[in-house]
Amino acid sequence: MPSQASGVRPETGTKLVCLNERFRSPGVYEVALGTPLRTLVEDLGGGLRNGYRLRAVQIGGPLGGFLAADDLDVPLLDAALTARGAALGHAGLVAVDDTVPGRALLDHLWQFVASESCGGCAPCRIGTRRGAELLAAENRTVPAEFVRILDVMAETSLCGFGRGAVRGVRGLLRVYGEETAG
Amino acid sequence: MRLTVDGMPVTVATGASLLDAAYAAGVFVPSLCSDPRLRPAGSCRLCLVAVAGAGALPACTTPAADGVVVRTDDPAVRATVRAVLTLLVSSLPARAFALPTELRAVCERLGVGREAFGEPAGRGGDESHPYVHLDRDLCIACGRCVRMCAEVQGTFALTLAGRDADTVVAAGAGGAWVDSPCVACGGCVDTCPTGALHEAGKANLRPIAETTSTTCGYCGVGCTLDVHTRGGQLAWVSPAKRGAVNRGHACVKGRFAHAFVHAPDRLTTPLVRRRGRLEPASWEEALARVADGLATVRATYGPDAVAMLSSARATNEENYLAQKLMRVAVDSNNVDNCSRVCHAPSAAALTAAFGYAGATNSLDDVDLVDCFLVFGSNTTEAHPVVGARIRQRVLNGAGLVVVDPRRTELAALADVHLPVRPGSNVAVFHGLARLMLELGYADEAFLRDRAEGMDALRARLDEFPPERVAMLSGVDADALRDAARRFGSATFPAIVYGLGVTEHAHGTDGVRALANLAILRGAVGTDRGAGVNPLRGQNNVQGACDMGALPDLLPGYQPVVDSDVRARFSARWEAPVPERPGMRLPEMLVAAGEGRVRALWLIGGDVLQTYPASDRVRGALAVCDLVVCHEVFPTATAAAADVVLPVATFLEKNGTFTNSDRRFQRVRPALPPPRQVRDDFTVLRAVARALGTDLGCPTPAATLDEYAALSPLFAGVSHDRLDAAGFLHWPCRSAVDPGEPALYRQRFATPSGRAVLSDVPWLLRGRSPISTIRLFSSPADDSSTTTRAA
Repeated sequence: MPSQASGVRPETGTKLVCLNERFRSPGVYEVALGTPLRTLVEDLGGGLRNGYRLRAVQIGGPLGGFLAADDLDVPLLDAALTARGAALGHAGLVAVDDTVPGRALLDHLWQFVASESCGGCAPCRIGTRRGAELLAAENRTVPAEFVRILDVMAETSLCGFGRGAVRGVRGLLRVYGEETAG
Repeated sequence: MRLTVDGMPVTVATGASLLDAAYAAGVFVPSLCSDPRLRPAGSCRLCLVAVAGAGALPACTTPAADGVVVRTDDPAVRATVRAVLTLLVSSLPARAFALPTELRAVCERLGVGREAFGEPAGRGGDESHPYVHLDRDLCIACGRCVRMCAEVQGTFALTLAGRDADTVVAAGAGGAWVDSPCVACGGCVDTCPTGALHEAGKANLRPIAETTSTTCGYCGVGCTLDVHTRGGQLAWVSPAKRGAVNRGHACVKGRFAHAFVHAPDRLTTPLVRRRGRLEPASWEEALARVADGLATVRATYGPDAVAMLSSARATNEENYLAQKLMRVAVDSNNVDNCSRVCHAPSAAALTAAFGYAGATNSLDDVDLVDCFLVFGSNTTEAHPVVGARIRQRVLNGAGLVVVDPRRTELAALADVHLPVRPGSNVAVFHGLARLMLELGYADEAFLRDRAEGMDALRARLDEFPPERVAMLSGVDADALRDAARRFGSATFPAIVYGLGVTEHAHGTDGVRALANLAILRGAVGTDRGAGVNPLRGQNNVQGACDMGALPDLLPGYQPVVDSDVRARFSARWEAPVPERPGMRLPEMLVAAGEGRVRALWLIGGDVLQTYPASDRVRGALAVCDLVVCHEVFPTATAAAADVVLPVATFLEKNGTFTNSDRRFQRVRPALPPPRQVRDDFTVLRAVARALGTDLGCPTPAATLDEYAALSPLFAGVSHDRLDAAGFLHWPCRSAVDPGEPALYRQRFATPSGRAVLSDVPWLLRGRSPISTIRLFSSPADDSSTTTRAA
């Protein structure tokens, strides 16, 4: 099957992409690297199931990133996704429809991050817990201290978990803006 | 590697980190998870530095490389680091700020105050252990304790349990600390940066008044300890980071077992026997009783009716004074020290085989060893700091052969464990020697050029085929072969042994046969091995002998029977040195029982507790006219004495100890002794004065100077040099001689200059030994043999 022949140098070959249940045609697809996300969402996934409207796509897993529904003209390449504040990761696509509140997404994502931190380094170990406390205490805004914690974690975490977690959350804040203030 | 830190050029060794480079440049970099004793973890993230072309990197886990340009003063990076610290302390209770810890120091340095601290998480503590207590709320999960336990101590008792913000240190399987495998070496307490792990009962926030660097008084390893005191009371003890032997490690004894200093049952006043009862007395009365008693015995029965047991726990200077007092003031060579039954065989055998009465190599050589032969030593318990280092070497791939009837911790770790039957040592060593020859591991060139006695040994080894040795020792012949193969094929083997070899009626034979193995392999006096090394039990076994607290040897191993030697000592001491060698400890006790010794002077040795056949010892003490006992506690022997003199412990003394690897180190008083307690040094001078003799030697430093002036092998040792250099190995022949950590590189110190192989026969237990002393007893009396593997 396609190998060096597919993709865009230096990211050659294909990728297995998993589309979640909210797509009209969920499942696993093998696509060439470099395929536009819009192709994956609209052609392979067939858009969303009846009654749902796409608001955002989360790509690359919980530590990947969020792209808005109108920001899908980007190739499935790590370099291109990283440039947009997302990541290729495992390349799974989670379609988020517009009935899901941004704040709920933020709270859910941060709870995941806080409970999955291994505790190996101080910024992630404490930052995730402190961040969860801040979000729990204040659901009408995104606290400024929370944003500062994101900065510290992004710059100083020991491994890709702490840094990746921030990328995902920042993407969410970017896509949802005011809505994450609940 | 050459790099630049804050504009300063720095050169560091390969393998160094950017943190090492910063420290080398003298630049402060905050850190809470690093410790020079440990591998880096990159956990606290406070050591971020700006690296040109690479951004902010943690200095501790980033390797230094040529040409790297590091800035520790980048404003953005500093702000980030401060933010990390602020975040870190937000999870700690404010009381963490009150403790005098590394955390507090870093907070002050970075300007993070009490207000940044958070609320107590209420995670509780663990105070189940007598020494090590845990306050979980102060734990920052840096893992230093875990790494200390694994990388330095090698016990692997600790782990970081849980995850996310609940991560906290746990011992064993997570139950009570006291039920864990923790051996209380104290490494975790010492390295903990926040006080989460702390010494039980030491939560005293008053500042430390003074810290004294001294040498541990427990075993012969010779760890350097920092003793912290306030108001004349001991606060705590920590291992000195720069300790030459221990390198920042210690064990449960040196680190925690110091309560004896202020113990309520400590002797604090002299006792004299009146109408059959020991009663408190003044020093004047007690010293007069001693002097009058000694003078009376000497006048009535002659000087050789007085005998003294000096102490391998006392300082070198005190041992020197003790023997000088006996020889000058009493006029007898009846002075021995308590290492007679433990390591006198080492002194005799190592002298005969190699020339000097000490370990052939330095403990530093442990770092190079690729196969250890540990004989009759439960090293991890008896000499824990050396045991831990051996353990680390073995965990990193070195071979280990353990010969011991007991299944010790090292035995459990060994490639080969030979659980030999007590009494079979010589047969086992000869069996191994024969196998090494058969398997082709003998160093023929070394044997030809630097050794002698091979023919006689070869003939002796005919008697020890593996199958016979297996029968005699109870260990499998194939296991013997395996042991011989491992030792024989190693590139840098070391022999380490303890009382399991020496503390037998045939102990000297055992050491001789053991020395054969190193000679056959060419692993002594060369760069192909770490020789033969006794682990001395008490702290100053080596020094007590070096100082001449021996009946046949004057200071510096100079024979009493040599008239030229006597003449030199007589001239310096301005008194004739008695010609006839004195009695050894066993002979003293026998003579006391028979009425030939009438006054026994015991400096510390609890002979009733530690000596075999204690009923006969008790009888000997009972019939003496005078028994003088220097003691710290009311021991069984003290209770049987006529005069008990309360004396100082090592924490209250000034002088030197000499450890197992012939290393002189300073002993400094960290505390004043209790009011009515004096050190042995002062007591000995006072008794001499009462006997009408001025011993000279007004201070410990002057005493060591006199010793050095009289002892050619030790001519270069002095308190001044030790204070400057930290330690000196003997031989040290002049003020510019750096001392010899590893001996015999050019020639052996035997008369022929060669290492001497020994063809000692193996004898049944109870048979008269060839070259050791008898204790009490008829030849068939087994009570005279003690079986030890400590």
